[in-house]
Amino acid sequence: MTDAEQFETFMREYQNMVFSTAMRLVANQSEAEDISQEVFLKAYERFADLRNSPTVAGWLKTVATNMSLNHLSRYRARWSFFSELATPGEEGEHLEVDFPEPRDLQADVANADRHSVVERALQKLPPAQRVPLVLFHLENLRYEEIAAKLNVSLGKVKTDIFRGRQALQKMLRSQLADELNPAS
Amino acid sequence: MLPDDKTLEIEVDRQLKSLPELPAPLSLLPRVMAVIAARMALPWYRRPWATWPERLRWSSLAALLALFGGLCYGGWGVSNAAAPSISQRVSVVASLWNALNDLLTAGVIGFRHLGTGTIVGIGAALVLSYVMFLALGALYFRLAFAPSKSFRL
Repeated sequence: MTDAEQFETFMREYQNMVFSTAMRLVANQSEAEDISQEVFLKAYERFADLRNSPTVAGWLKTVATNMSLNHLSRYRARWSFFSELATPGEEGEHLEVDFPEPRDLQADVANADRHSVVERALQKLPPAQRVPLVLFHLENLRYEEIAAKLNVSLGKVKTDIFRGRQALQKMLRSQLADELNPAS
Repeated sequence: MLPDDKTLEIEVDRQLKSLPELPAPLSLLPRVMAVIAARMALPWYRRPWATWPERLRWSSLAALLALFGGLCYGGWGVSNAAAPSISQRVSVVASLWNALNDLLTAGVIGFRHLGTGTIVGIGAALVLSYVMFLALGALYFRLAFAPSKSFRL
């Protein structure tokens, strides 16, 4: 098997993971695809070391995360600054959320495509909430690590994650209600 | 019943961690392999230095170091031989520098004579201008990215 064939096999194994990481951070398919391409080109330059490494998945995830964050900071630095001037409560819509116990929610989504609903809701979150939420829950970073990566204060990270959770739950409730009762 | 923060965290964590991987676009693999094929088609000297064969990398590094050493030695020799003419040119630069220095000193003296009120007024005008640009930017951001509430179906 040639190097190119081996790399193709390698890419088939990890492309979904890399693309998912990028997509959930940048929430744009074409940008996520560009970032994924850059990740694998970088991986190809180091393929001799990576091909037999037990930590290759972690390396790919880290590179995909860092490239996605660099992309976001390069193109959205001005907008994130101005978004901090927005008055509290506006980004997360209404702060009071009344949603059912988890048991009831699971029962409601039994007939719905739960995963796609959650993905759509996640992508609709503003970047200031979505990015720290994904880094905390999906990349398993601590608050301090997220604050250092995003170059913001610890308090802002906690606030944005809390608002992101509230906004996500509210959107899920609203979208599930629409799917279960399309006539209304 | 409003959940507490911990319940919300646990519920969101469960929902997000249960998400499967998103399928990568079908075009991703061919795109990457096409770029790799294009890079492999280039001759070695047009590829990034890090991808050169190891012997070529070491020999090119040695050549660059030798060139750098030679330039340093040659520059030292030239500077010794050309010291008189160089010091003549440097004196022109020195007089230019003195003229700039005198202008700067005159500017500082003039500034000190402006008076506290004028200086405070200029400072206040600069701060107000900066704040105004920030406010205009924030207003634009909120108008441009505010969700439309009047067209919900």
